[in-house]
This record gives sequence, C-alpha cells and structure tokens, in this order.
Amino acid sequence: MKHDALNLKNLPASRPPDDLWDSIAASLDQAPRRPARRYWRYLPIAAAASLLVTVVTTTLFEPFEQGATRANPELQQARSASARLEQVLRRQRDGLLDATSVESLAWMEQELGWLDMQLADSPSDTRLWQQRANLLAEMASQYQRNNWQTELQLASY
Amino acid sequence: MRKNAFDQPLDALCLKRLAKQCRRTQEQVYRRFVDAAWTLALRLTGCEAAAWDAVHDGFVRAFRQAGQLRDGSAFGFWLRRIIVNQAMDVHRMRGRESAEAPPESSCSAPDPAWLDLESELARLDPADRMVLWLHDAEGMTHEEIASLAGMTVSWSKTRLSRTRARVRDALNREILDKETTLELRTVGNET
Repeated sequence: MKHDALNLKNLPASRPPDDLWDSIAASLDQAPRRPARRYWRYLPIAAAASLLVTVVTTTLFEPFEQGATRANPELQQARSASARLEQVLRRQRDGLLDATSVESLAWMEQELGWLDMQLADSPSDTRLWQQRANLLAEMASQYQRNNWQTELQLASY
Repeated sequence: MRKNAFDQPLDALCLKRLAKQCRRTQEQVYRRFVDAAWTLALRLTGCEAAAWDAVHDGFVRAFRQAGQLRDGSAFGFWLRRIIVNQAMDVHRMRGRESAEAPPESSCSAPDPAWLDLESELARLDPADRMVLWLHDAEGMTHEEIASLAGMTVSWSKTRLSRTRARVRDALNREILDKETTLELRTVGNET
C-alpha cells in the first residue's frame, strides 16, 4: 500500500495545558449570572439609580449630541433605527434557539460589542451607526426566522 | 472508522444543569471534550498560545450560551463550530497585533518526527489550513465547511484540492531533498 504523506489523522495528539480549566472557571465566575432571589428587592433601587444616571448624562451631553445629530439626518436616522431594533431584540432574546442560530447570534452579539467599543470612541460616526442598525436588523430577522421555524416544528408534532 | 471525538451527545439532565451554570457539570463536559477541542484549535492556529485563547474563549462562550441550546445531542458539533470560529477569530486578531509583537515567539516547536507535515501545515494560509483540517481530519463535508465559513461549496472544494496538492508537492520535495543529501553524504564517505 502506498504511504500517503498527507495523513493528518496520524499526527501526534497534543495534551491541553493542565491549568486551562482553572482559567475557564475563573472567566465563568466573572460572567453575568442570573441574579439570586435575595437581590430582587434591590432591583427598584438599581432601576432608579440607572434612571438617574441616564437623566444626568442626557442633560449634560445633550447640547453637543443634538448639534451633531441635527447637522446629520443620516446619523439621526441610523440612531433611531438602532434604538427601535434594540426594543424589538429585548423581547426576542428570551426565546429558545437551535444550535446554528445560537452560534450565529453569538457572533453577531460579539460584532455588536466591537461596534459599541468603536462607537464609544467616535459616537457621531454615521457609518458605524448604520452598521450597528444593519447588524441589529439581521439579528432581529434571525430571531424571527428561528421563532417561525420553532412554531412550525411544534405544529407538526 | 474512528468516531469523531465531538460526537458525544449530552443527556437532557446534563443540558439542564449546564443551563443553570452548574460548575461541576461544566467541568465534566469540559473534560469530555477538551482533548478534541485542543487538537482542533492547535491544528487550526498552529500555535499553542493561540489555541489556548481559542479553546478558553470557546468553552466560556459555549457554557454561557448553553441555556439556549435545545438539543443535547448537538452539543459536541455545536462546540466544534464555536472552537473553529474562535480559532479563526483569534488568528485574525493576532494577525492585527503581529506588527507590534510577533506571536511566533510564544509558539512551541512541532514534534520532530512530524516536522515536515507540521511545518507545511503551519506555512499554509489559515483558510486553506481550516478547509484541509476540517475535511481530512474532522471529516466535515464541503457543505458544512462552506456554511461555517460563510462561503460556497465550490470555494471549499477548490481550496481543498489546491491545498492538498500544495502540501503533497512540498512534502515530496522535502523527501527528495533529504534523499539527495543522504546519497551525497554516502558518496562523500565512500570516497
């Protein structure tokens, strides 16, 4: 039998580092977990604090932001679309997903994180806001498609 | 035929515990899949430091999202998709950073017995390496690879045949070079 030099399955296996799990467990500890029952009573206080921060931030920065937005209707449009889609996604994120959708949506969430980081540096960048709105629209349609498929599967049982 | 190491279904109870972020279950699932995940990430990135990042981020992401997974039998292949994506992403990010600090310094040397094949794999373009490894080692179909990469089936087929030919040529050339050197040494010793 002719020996195939390109036999990838015969390459020697390599063991993962022993401390890899510790590092993963440490990262999981930092992950946002579901709030425990005893913290629910603090939620109204947290909501009020969050509202206060929003009001103060809006009041302080509104004149500068409005100037930039008023001068650029495209920027205003992209921001409105972005806010509208955020509302839609907030409702959709609670649903169950299949494996492919989870992975693809996880990627989109990551892309969204990247965009938000860039937007923190340049909040009046129209192109970035448009990209954000497009990405959110894609996510919303993915959730919608998944819900539709789920309903169809359930109906077929 | 060897069973794919990612083909290990999780039962409903295990999936439920993962959804509740049970640390002990997470560790059990990690132990079950880590060898396959590590080999995959190492082969795709060609570098232990990058493989570490890919496997670390891949498991963290999988455990955080496990609550949304409906079917436990798909967990392994779902994890594989995540690891592949993470590996390609880590590669992209490291590529961007390479101008400041070359990652080669953190990469370990390949096993000498398989030096030729490992060196040739390391020299490949990341996308070529991904197609070659996923098809020939992981047993994925062109349809699966194309869907993972967001490309067409013909893109995957073309890449695979081109990459196979390139690696085979390089390996044959190296074998020929070694044989020629050996013959020259033998002739030199005789004279």
